Amino acid sequence: MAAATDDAGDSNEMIRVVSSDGEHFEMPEAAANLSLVLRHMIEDDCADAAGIPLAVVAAKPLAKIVDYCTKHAAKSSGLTIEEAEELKRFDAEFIEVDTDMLYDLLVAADFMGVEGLSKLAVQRTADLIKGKTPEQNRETFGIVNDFTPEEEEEICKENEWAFQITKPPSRLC
Amino acid sequence: MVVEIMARLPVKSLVRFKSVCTGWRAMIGEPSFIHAHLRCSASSATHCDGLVLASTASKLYLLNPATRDAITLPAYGRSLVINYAAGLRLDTVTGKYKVVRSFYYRSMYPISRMGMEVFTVGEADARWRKTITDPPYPVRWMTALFVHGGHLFWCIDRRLCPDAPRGGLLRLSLQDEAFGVTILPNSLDVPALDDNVLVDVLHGELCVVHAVSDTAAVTIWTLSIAGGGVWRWERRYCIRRAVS
Repeated sequence: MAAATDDAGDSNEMIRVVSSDGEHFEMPEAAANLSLVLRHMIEDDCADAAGIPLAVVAAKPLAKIVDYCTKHAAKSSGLTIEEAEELKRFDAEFIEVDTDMLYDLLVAADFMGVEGLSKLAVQRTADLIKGKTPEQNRETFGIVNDFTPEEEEEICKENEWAFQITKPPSRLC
Repeated sequence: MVVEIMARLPVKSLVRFKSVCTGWRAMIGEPSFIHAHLRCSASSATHCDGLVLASTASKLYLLNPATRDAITLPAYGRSLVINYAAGLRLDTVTGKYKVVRSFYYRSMYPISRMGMEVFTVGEADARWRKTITDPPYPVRWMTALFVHGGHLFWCIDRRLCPDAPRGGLLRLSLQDEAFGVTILPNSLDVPALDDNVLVDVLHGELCVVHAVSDTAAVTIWTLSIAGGGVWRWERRYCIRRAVS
């Protein structure tokens, strides 16, 4: 059971984590605390010099997550509007990754319980697919179209307005 | 996770994606998904009289867009586990705004015992203060629903507390900070708050929308407080869908 300390986030201790492929990483305790899983381990005194093993997170996404948490922990309290905007820019650049990395980040952030990063990756995924056609989504996700041509036509007809994606509507009706 | 991603898509994309495959069409049409989508549009922030309560992974902020003022509410103590079932409301008796948030007690294993804290905005030396008693049941991760007369409602989390009453909503009175439980209308034969039942607020009244799948009808119940502090459900609307 963790002993109650006076205040949160004051510790300068470095927390070590180990990826599934054996690479070691270090981050400040305040950064590790952004992960619910790491935070519980730290509070239960499971963080030692050998590092906390993360069995399902490979080095590549873990390096990104360490970056994310370190940046966000350093800027966590009493944000000015400028700092908040800077953090937003950091997030926007941070999540500009290819789809493989995005998938890895989605899974890893979910597993590690890094809520901010989970939301960021989920939103990015949503942004990537929202402008696509149904056919493009079938390709991206390897989905087989199991509608009959008649059914598909009926759905398209019922919802014609939603299929006009190339140009914005000239008038609202 | 798929639901979380889809819940962030605009309606237009969703309507279009109904034609991807039967699985997507079924998911997009499900009441639980519609609810998730609605919640998503409003989940990161809640508001009251022009004040906005916004949450991030670790912090709660109170913003006044009109004056561009922002305050960061004090962090959680270390012995508590963050759980944002937070809400903001004016206490009409004191004229002060109160923020309410839930947390889990860290030291309890398995983590299931929930507590709640209240922060009164504008009070000298303002800090989080635990409610006089803990809520009788944990609630689900969801922004509190506010109802006229200074009551907050949450869905009870039966996954963490199987002994909780079926179809129960946790109720908190802002005035005396007393908790209570409101049970869904008796005629709703629901084992819990399942996918066919949505709870929301309509014109300041708590309402329950029940999609009866076998009759293709939707009933809407509203909750009002009668004299003597008795809560009463009223079946307000029954909408039958045309069956072709």
